[in-house]
Amino acid sequence: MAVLEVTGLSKSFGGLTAVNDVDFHVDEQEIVGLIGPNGAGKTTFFNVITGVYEPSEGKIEFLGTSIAGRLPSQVTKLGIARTFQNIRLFNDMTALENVMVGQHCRMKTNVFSAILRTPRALREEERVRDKALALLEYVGLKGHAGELAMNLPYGSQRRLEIARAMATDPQLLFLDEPAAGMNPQETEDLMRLIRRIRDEGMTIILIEHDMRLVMGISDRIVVLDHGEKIAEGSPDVVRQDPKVIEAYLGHAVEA
Amino acid sequence: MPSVSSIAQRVRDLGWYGAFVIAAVAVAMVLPLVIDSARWLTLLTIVLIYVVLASGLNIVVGFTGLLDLGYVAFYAVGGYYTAILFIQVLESHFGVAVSEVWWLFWVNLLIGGILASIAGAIIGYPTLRLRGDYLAIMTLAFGEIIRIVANNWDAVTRGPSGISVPDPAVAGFVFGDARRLYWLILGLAILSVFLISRVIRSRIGRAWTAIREDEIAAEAMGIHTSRYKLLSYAVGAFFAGVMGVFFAHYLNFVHPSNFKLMESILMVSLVVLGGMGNLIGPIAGAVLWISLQEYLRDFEFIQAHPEVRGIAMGAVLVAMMVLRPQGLLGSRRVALEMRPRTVHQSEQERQAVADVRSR
Repeated sequence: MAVLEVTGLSKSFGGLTAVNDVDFHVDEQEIVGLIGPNGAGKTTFFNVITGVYEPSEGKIEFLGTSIAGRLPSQVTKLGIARTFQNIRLFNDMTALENVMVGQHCRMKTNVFSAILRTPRALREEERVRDKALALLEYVGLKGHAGELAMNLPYGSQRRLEIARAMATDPQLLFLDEPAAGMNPQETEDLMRLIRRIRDEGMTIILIEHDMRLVMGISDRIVVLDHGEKIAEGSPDVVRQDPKVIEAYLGHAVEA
Repeated sequence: MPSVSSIAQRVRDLGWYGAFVIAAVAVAMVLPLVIDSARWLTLLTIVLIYVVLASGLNIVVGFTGLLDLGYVAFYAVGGYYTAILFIQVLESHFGVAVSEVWWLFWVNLLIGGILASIAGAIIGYPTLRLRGDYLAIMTLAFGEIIRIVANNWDAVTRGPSGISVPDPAVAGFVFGDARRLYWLILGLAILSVFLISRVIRSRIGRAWTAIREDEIAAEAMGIHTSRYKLLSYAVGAFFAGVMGVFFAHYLNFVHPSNFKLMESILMVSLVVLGGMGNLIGPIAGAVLWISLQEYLRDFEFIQAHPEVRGIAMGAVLVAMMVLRPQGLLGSRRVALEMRPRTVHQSEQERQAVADVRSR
């Protein structure tokens, strides 16, 4: 069954069409890689689906519910989580607090129960803290719970973003260039982490420029260029596709 | 009954921070028994009013990161509400003796706060899309609008004549002298700071801080940011409303000049001075600065040149921005160390926090 079903999605900013009539779907527990040259519309595509922008046209269905035009917070609550291309952690909060914020939409404490510290509010807080600690351990940040996000090394910040996204209890995880700026060792660890997350039941869509990562990990790859989908298929098929080669390398010069 | 060992554990859990808070509260409570000067007690009362105002504003400015230069508006809402109800409506219109309805003051503390909350949400709504400078200008304008309305709507607010307001009382017991008023405001201040700390150290405070740190990421993590920004305005305004009610009955008078733009600027300055985004900062800022300011008021030189106080405040703030931009207590490190009970709950966290401290 398709977790995400996108039909005829377009997004234009004034005269510029960033995403043009894209059909796209992801099945359960699939890892789909979204690639394309710079400016192909990958991040815009992400942003439309996660509610940052409203689509100009087209349908977006997540588990059978239309999510086009909803607020990002509502989309997250429905079960789609994301990370950002340029890391957006809550810098002045600890690693633990960052992940606890991710649980926000699964909590019920309001102003009054927070003031009264009702047993329910206390239990909820404890449950969320334990879960956050477990997630930190899961992504390999055990022992860093009390550190400020901004003091973590770059690779750890990327992993903290993943832990924070997973804290929202998503069914679908969007990773926007998770390996950007990582060294080969860190990229290797990241691949293992992403596989493990998938094997435990998550569906993943990732934008990535690191071809080794994206070819090595994706079940299926979708290629965007100038906002249009130009190819789709298994890594091997896409690699051979003349249109893809052309998009990345340009025309072969006619002799 | 909790066992002796569990009490001992609780005392240990309190740590230095808890011990300091308890000691400070104890000192504040017995202070009036030692000090026998109405002038000093009045000074301390004013300090405590600003402690609450700065702590309430800190919710909006320090925790949620929304620069609000019109906070005085909510203070005015509380003050004028109680004055209008007591004098303009009950006494003048219905001929009720105000001493008969003494209980209304206590009810008004709450209703004044709620009205200010509503005003906060109403003023907050159109500013939701604004950030930084634009937000500051708009809140500043709203603050001025309230004052100008108070100054000109003679029929309701008596404009520049102001309204006289009775002392707070419980049946025949009148909070008329400086000592009683001090104890009353001390109680209100302790309660307010306690309530604020509870909200801050919950899911809600975390959401506010997340919005301050990165609004787009906060929204993407499932926080309905507009709703939480409105909540921040409303909760922040609540405490200004409560203080407005107290202030009117404490001063026995409300007048538009009590709610000038300079007051808003002073409140923001206190928050900045003490340190934004932690609970103790604004309290320290208010205690230090308001004591100094009120103390200086009695010097002949200052009376001859009152503008010197404003200049000094400006100079201190500029120096702060250069030397210690995070404020006196503004470091996150301090905040981290000062929250032993919430942060260390589990063994693992205890270790994590110990790691941070040992660096």
